[in-house]
Amino acid sequence: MIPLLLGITLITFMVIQLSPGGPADMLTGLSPKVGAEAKARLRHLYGLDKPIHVQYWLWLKRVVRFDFGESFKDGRRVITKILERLPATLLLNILSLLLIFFIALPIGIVSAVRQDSFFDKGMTLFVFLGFSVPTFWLALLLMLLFGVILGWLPISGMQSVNFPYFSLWGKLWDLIQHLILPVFISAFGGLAYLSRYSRASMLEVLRQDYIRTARAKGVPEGKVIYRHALRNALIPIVTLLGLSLPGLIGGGFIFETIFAWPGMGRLGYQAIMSRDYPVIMGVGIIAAFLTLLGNLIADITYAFVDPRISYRQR
Amino acid sequence: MWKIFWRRFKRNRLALFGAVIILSLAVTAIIAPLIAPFDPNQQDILHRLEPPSARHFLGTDDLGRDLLSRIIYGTRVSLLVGFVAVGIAIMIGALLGLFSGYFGGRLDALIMRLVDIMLCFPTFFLILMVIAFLEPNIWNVMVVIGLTGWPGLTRLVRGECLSVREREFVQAAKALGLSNLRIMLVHLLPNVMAPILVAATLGIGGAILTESALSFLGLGVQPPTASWGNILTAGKDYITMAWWLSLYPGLAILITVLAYNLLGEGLRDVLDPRMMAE
Repeated sequence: MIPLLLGITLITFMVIQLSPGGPADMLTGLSPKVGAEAKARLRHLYGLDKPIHVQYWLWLKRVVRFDFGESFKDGRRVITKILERLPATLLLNILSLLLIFFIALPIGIVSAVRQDSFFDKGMTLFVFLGFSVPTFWLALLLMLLFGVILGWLPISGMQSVNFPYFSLWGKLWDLIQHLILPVFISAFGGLAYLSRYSRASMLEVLRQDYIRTARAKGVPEGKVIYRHALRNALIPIVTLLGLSLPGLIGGGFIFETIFAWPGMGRLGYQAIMSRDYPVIMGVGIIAAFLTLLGNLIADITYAFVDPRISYRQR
Repeated sequence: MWKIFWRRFKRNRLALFGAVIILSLAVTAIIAPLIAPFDPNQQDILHRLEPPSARHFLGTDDLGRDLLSRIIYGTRVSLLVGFVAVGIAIMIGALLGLFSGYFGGRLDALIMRLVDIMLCFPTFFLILMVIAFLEPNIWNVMVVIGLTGWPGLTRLVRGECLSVREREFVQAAKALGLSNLRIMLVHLLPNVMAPILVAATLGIGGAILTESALSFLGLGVQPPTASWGNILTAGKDYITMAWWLSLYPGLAILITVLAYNLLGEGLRDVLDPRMMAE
């Protein structure tokens, strides 16, 4: 896990360093009055004049203490900026993951059990559409339908303007209303993918000999499916759920921007647009870290799902 | 073998449907100037934001440009991006996968670590970052999508190579003293071609989606060049007044990507060697 994290930081760092036009150019590019000398001074101030490997080492030493430096834009500490945005992103991603899991899995199971039924064919169609639809476009259409035409749901932000004046339940209801569209949109891609995959996994398991044995010895069909088949089919699905995290977090950069969701993705997007290097780095590292954490949780969940897997040394 | 392939492919109606759409899109892209009713960049401020009519089938945008013509020209962008980006990803992915699977050992471990790193990186963020630092234009978009698209394929090709490597004809080639490079390119590659072809077809759809998302964020193909993604950016600003600007470009993306996905899944069914034996 640590080498992975190191590799990720290295890639992020190299991408930023190899790009033309440093932050000194960004700050001063618009003003012809600023001479080369002032630019050099700025570069020195930010430590951008040292060799790249030295810069990386200095930066890495601070990163292990979660010190990503200060934002070029407003001088606030990067970790503070990220921490205040993180809850919104976590809320969105965890709800999306739950939605994906609890909707896609039943769809997959029913599709597999009733293979080639009307339901199965309809779901296959849905899956293909889910793979192919540009989600940001779907977001636009849903905003148009529910926000503008029907006026049922708010189309941006996390809270209404008069949020502080609501009662506790009013606040909760307001939050839920703001959550519906972003959660649905960010879950959409994963929903299609996971229902397809759990169908395939379930079909594979249903072909196994032990299922035939269970049926032959007269185990009720419901028990065959939920006790014998599902538990075995779950194993690859858990991995996939872990692997779908980068997609969710990566997608966050676009959905959060569309819905003006005050999360980390939007922070990252804004940082990219203004070349706020420390913030970009911070967001990149935290996003990758969250992904690794997700994979770790998936690994641990294995042990629960599959008693054959044990992490104790033999 | 091609006969078997064609017979199986013909039976798969959805894949055939996808192939027909892709072919007609390719034709559209090539003869765009002949079929577009207007110049895609011809502004007509007097007729801005006009709803679909007999003169402008899909309406006009905020500068009075004909939407249908812009979508037709946008076909060129998506086709180019899809093929070039996937071409780059396939070259890197297949090569690394071949090396990794054929040689094994330390090289394999190194390449697989690299794949792990790339896979747990939120790819879209990486692409955003690189594009934002470089100049956003169509070439950079294609190269960056290509450079981030290889890890999945590498893993796939490596897996296939691991099993093909143990087969007798590879052993025979080794015994004959053929060079490693020749064994890889002449004996291994053709045997892993089927999964590569499937991954490439599905990858083109993915690349088109990524390009449109980037253009939508203003980091892809730059206006005035028409791309489906950047037409949608304007659509977003006028969403309450001009729904057609938001609807049709997205529909074009949906249909195109759907066609590649249908073809890709169809190819997977047809080329699956386990089914070949039937």
